[in-house]
Amino acid sequence: MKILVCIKQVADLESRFQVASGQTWFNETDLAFRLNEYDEFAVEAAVQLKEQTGGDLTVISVGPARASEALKKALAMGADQAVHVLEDQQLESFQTAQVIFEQIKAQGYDLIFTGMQSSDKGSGQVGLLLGEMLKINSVSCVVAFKYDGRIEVERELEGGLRAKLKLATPALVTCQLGLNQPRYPTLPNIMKAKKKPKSEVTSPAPASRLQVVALGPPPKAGAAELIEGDLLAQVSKVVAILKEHKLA
Amino acid sequence: MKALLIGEVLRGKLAPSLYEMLGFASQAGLESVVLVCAPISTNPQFTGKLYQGDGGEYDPLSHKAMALEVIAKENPDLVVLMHSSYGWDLAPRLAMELGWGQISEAIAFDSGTFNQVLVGGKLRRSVKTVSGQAVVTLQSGAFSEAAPAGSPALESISALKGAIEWLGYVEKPAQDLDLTKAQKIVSAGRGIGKADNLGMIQELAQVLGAELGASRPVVDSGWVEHSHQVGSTGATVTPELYMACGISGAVQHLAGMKKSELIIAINKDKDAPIGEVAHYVVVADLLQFVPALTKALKA
Amino acid sequence: MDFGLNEEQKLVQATVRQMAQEQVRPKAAATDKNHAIPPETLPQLAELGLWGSYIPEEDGGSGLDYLSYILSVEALSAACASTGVLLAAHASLGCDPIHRSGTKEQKAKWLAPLCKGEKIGCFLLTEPGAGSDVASLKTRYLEQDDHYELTGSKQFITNGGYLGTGVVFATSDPSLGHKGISAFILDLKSPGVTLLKNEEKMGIRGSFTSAFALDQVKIPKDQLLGAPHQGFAIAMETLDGGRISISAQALGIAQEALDLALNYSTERQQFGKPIGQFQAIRFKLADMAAALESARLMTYKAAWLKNQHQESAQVSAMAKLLASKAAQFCTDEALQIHGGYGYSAEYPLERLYRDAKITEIYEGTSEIQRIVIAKGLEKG
Ligand SMILES: Cc1cc2nc3c(=O)[nH]c(=O)nc-3n(C[C@H](O)[C@H](O)[C@H](O)COP(=O)(O)OP(=O)(O)OC[C@H]3O[C@@H](n4cnc5c(N)ncnc54)[C@H](O)[C@@H]3O)c2cc1C
Ligand SMILES: Cc1cc2nc3c(=O)[nH]c(=O)nc-3n(C[C@H](O)[C@H](O)[C@H](O)COP(=O)(O)OP(=O)(O)OC[C@H]3O[C@@H](n4cnc5c(N)ncnc54)[C@H](O)[C@@H]3O)c2cc1C
Repeated sequence: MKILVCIKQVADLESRFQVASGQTWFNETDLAFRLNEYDEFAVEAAVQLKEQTGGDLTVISVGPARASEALKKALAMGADQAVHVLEDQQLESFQTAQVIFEQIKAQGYDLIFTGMQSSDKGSGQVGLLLGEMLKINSVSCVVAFKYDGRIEVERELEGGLRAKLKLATPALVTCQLGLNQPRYPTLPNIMKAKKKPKSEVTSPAPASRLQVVALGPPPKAGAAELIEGDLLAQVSKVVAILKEHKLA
Repeated sequence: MKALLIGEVLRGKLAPSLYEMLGFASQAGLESVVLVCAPISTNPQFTGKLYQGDGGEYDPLSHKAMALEVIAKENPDLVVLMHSSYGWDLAPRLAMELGWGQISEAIAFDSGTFNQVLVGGKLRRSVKTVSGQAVVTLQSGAFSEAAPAGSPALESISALKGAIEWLGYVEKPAQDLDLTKAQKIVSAGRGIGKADNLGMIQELAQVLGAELGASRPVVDSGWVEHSHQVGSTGATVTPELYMACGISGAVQHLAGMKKSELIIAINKDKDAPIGEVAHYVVVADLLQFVPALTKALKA
Repeated sequence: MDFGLNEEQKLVQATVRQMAQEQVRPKAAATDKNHAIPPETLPQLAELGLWGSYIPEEDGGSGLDYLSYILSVEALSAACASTGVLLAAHASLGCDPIHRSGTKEQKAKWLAPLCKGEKIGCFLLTEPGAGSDVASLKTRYLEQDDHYELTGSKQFITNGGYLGTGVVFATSDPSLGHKGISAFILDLKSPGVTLLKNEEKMGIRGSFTSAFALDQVKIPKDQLLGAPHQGFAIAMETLDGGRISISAQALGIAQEALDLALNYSTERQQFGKPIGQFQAIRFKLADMAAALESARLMTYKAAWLKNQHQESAQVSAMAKLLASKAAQFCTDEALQIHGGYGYSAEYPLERLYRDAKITEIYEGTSEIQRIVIAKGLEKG
């Protein structure tokens, strides 16, 4: 079984984001980066499948030099080799999918895992676009996964409902939070990851289909009144509000 | 300019979110054509054309083919879906076939550009496609609904068979709790830090006579049952009081609670995006504030 | 010169931080209150491979470089100082001497189970009458046909209460001073070893600090570590490394204190604004950050040297002196910034303040570190 998992390194959402005027992406200096949370579930699912069926697991990421840390993590979690497509520009989903497609189209992967979306942009497109480019079955937002020759998955719908589906491989699956329990990479595996093959390639991205007109902080809605100050004053203020609305 | 709105069918019923898409189209001054890929019990009310497919449960191949057929006939400039499990799945497939750009989860439309939320609500950007044609998914609740009026002209189209085998719905286990009926909800988010701290949230809920709600990470960590989850994949609630303790206010959570009558958030980050919908944000460590409030309410 | 961490080091740091944040920090207050590290923490450290630390894989360890190990102790200590020293004493004091001075057979028999966390390591040097003056220890050993027989007592033994594997020091003849000391591998469940008590302490309360009586304890000949009478050198070399791990513990505590203070100073309002806007508070934060960062550089340099096998007693001593001072200073200032809430047991500051103090005492008091540093200044 040949398995691929696509990952992205994203800025930690706890960061303070600053955008220089006229820029279409935030300033990355001094920000902490991490493996996209959704991708952790994708890596875990891929590693579990490899443990079940044997085979070969490749991890790929498109991104600047720093993305190599995310690849290292995936290797330490159990991927066999990594492909780093060096790209300093912020690509839009279609461009990213196309770059990955060019790298992998001749590889004949049986199963491809991606995160359902990236936590920085939340577009949820790359996995599905890639599946379409490869002309293979794809299913999004998966919260349960089983393989027995074909794959059986549960897709998350709204309101707690799920759809159970079965499909043939080759297939692509985009992973939702809660699909599994991503493992911590163990320390010995982190050290071993150093010796796993990792290739760096470049690949020209196609033109973007989107044009970013502006980027900035959300307008201060001004709706919320901030209740600050010392604890007891805060408490009495809230009690007063609740009383005023006849809720306490 | 013309928009194709793709409505969503769940168990033979048309999702009411179609009216949000119609609302968007009228705000943007677009002519609307609607496609519904599976049979529905009652037709929507609007003026325009309704394509009625005879497909089954969601199957990407089959629904994509129907949409492409309608697009070929109608030549729309925009294809619009909700940013839902149905919409976000179908949209990129259509964008790929059409060679168009896709704009995901738009929250507003203003003179030709769409607004989107980035990095968990801390940034916002406005985008448009280079070609002007676009597949767009709308955030649920972002656009006001059009009032149902008129009756569409019907045209039917037929589906082809897909490649995915439908095995059925998996229901959430039946639960006594129905958050949608609650008058008051006190919700716990990841900010509570650990399962042990749930006790203090429950205690506050109890003192207020409220039900316990939760954000998704609290449910995913197994600290509470899914029936407590508020948000796009949990319950959509409109209580008189919604208290959000340690909840940042991700769009998916806001989708489930922003219409509550009084929203009080407790968050140590005064810039947390929950402030966009909350009436009050108590800037405090909830581990201090919540027990203190409970104590004061008991007194 | 390169002050950056490499990818593996960053990943180790992030992984241990995440684990510590999710599994260890939530239990830190209870660990202190109950005077015990929760038993489920030990297998969690095992799962990650932390017990095997920087011991090479061929000896059953995790094969970290030394700095990665130090980053792990720092990250764990930021979450819980008791858990930090559990690892530091196990690896730097329990495993390290066996790794450095043990035979192949000894490593296979004793080191491998330590690296898996099947046994917890400890170091039995201090005695009621021999603290800073190690050479005056009184525990005696007699050489018999096929074993040694140890009699005496040991005091303040970190991790002793787990009754795992220790490296114990004893003299064949107290009149020989440091030249009479040998080191042995000791199974703490051996007959004759009695756990007298676990101390009640000011800080690091979750960590066992145990007193033992040794009464004619039979130690097989193949458990002599190194050559006879090489014990003092083994002890000193071990402590040179151990001091780096205590520096890391101190850094963790100091960082946690700074983070809490920084956070609190933006939340707490007095006189109509967050206290973090008062220059007096900002200067405290600046001094804390500067003390912490300089201690960190020194500690990482000591770790780097050890990784190059260029251990330096002076550099390790400087690192520990600076880091323990930084921990003491930062917890004090952070508590001050928290005002009355810092003094309250509801907040973690008073615990950090109590935990920080030990770093100025064990593995050589700050006075002893200065003696070591000053000795290094002498020429010729
Ligand atoms: C398809 C999809 C569906 C989803 N459906 C849902 C859904 O139905 N419901 C849902 O909730 N989420 C849903 N999510 C997840 C959503 O994107 C967010 O990840 C989630 O809502 C975040 O939960 P949170 O606010 O509890 O945690 P976080 O975003 O981690 O926020 C924690 C907050 O707590 C604050 N905090 C931390 N410590 C303290 C303290 N001591 N005192 C006070 N404040 C503190 C922090 O400042 C922060 O603002 C969905 C995601 C996807 C992709
Ligand atoms: C919690 C805890 C855990 C410990 N864990 C271990 C362990 O695992 N294994 C182990 O073997 N030991 C352990 N110890 C012992 C520790 O290393 C000693 O306590 C320490 O070395 C100091 O010895 P002492 O307490 O006897 O103090 P003393 O040596 O009696 O020192 C008393 C004071 O005199 C000063 N002093 C002593 N000599 C000089 C000098 N020459 N010049 C100037 N000042 C001097 C000291 O700095 C100190 O201020 C632990 C101790 C504690 C409290």
